[in-house]
Amino acid sequence: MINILLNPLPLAISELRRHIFGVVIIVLLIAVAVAFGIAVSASERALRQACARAADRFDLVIGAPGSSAQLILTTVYLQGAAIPLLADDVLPRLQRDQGVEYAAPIALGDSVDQYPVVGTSKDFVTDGSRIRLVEGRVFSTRSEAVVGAAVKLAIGATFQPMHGRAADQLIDEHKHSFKFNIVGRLPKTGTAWDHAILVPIEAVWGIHTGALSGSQAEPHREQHHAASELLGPPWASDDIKGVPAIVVRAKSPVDAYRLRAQYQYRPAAKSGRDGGNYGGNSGGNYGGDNSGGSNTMAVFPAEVLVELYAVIGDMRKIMTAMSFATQLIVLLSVLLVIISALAQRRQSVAVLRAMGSPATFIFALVWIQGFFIIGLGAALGLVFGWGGSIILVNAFASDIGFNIVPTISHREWLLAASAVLAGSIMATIPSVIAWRQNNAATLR
Amino acid sequence: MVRDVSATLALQDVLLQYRNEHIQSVDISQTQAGFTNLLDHANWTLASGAQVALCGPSGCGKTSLLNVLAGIEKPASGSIRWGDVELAKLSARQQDSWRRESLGLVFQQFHLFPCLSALENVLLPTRFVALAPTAAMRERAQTLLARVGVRANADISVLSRGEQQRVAVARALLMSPSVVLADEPTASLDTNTAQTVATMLRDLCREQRSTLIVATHDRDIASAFGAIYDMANGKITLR
Repeated sequence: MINILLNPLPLAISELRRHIFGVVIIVLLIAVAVAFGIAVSASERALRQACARAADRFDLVIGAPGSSAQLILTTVYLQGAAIPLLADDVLPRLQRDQGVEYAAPIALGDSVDQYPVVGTSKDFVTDGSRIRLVEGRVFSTRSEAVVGAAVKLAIGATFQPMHGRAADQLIDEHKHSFKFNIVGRLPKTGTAWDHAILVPIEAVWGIHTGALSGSQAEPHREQHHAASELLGPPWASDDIKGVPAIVVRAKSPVDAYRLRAQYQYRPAAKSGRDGGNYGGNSGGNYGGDNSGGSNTMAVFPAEVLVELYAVIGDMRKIMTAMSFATQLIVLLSVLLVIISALAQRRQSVAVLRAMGSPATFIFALVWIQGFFIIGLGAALGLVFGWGGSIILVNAFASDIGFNIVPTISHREWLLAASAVLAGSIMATIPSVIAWRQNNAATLR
Repeated sequence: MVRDVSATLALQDVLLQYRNEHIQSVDISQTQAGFTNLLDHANWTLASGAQVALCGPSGCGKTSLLNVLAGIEKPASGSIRWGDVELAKLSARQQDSWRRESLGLVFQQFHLFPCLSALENVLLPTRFVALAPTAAMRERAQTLLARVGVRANADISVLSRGEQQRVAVARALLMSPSVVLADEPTASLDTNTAQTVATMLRDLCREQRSTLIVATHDRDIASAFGAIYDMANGKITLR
């Protein structure tokens, strides 16, 4: 059996080499068709994994009633958008809860260059001592900041945050006069938080309520004043000047579910701080009315991700179907090219048979060539697809600050293998035609 | 390398019919409506080692007769025997094997493979049953190419037509076949080259005692053979 395939090999390779230009074109055509499917599959999985990884440290996110997807996009993926503020008593209540390991406020709205400045607590920075900084230390005063791994600002550097985010074009043209000093750097996570600058929530409150907004001429005096104040937690209700979201680390899954039920949105209990937001535009409201009920919305990020996966999954199905259709069309085209090329080789085949070549030699000769072209195309498609998925994912990931490296899994191998299998089966068609041709008539 | 296998030809009562639409010549026997008898219960015998020319007008069926003698085409009736081998009684695999080992073919259009060198073309029949030719075969191929005056590593596409036909002759003789069938081997060549190739073919076949049948319509080429057979009206007759 092996000999049947091996004996025609030198002739098969020589013939392919002679038509190298056409062979390369066909191989590339197949490679692109296969790569399309591979890229879609690998990209979708990589994005899904990256989304899940980014949400890992967020047990439960609590915000004011509204869009749960927007709440998760804002807190987990730092996709700046205006979200309503929570009532001021929510954070103290969560702090007192026995099932809460820590409850960290998350306040966005400012930025430095393209980096979002996030007001939060020490607990969130270290994830309750689970995270060790790769450089420096956690902030201990209002004028100190910790940067994500991808932030191109050195320890010891100072910055003045802008109101809004350049990336979202929500900057309203003013720079806060308060200066922060970078004291620590977080390890790389491959998430949007690598591009974030974390500052004490008290500093964000101070800046937006005016307590820390002195004139540019006297920043040092203000900074000295700010540094003298202690950082929370705990925070009293009076200290809290608006929190758009709270990340809760529960002590156990039971606590997480209890808290979720407890803070789940109930339409009957009307409250919240309608109109308040941290969006960074002129509608922002950090120092407004604190009154309102305890109306909240508690979201497990996984719930939102499941919905997101459903959307991505549907897109993947469509794209996969399209890639299959493309592969089929390309393979059929290749088949037609091989069959029409075979018509030009009828004489050669007849001569080989007349010289005593076994029918299996002819079959194998034609089959090897078809299989080689399709197999090489599929193999190249795997490589191109992987490369394509890197480009595709990075184009998307750069927008959301993800650092994603797509991998080739069994699904992509299966896709390439199915193309090879389909090709090897389709290659039998011209082989049978060559094998069964009327050699006497051809030689006459 | 000389083959001892007898290559006596005994063609008995062979009927070879074609549908009329496939036939262009009118100088042939017609016995049945719609059919033409290229061979009409024809008989033909040749001694082993004979060298004969087969003549006849274009379309009379010379190529078809050679196909029948090579076992490529089956007659409607009758038998073709080469020595002890009756072609009709061989299985398809045995016929392949017989053609590979005992038959050499030379075509009018050479039918070389331009993707292979001269040496690789000559060695092609060995590839049918083995991945690589033996050292002995390689040496014989090189010897044959030297005899016909073509470089072993020559690129087929740059060879002249005469050189290409000489490579084809070397390929036909590689396995030292007991039978060599040549179908208009000189029709594509100029007169001088044609004579050279024909002489070369006859000499090489004589050396290895192969039976040689050359189908030709070239009188000069035919006249060099000891025996000339004419094919007309479904019969083969000695001129």
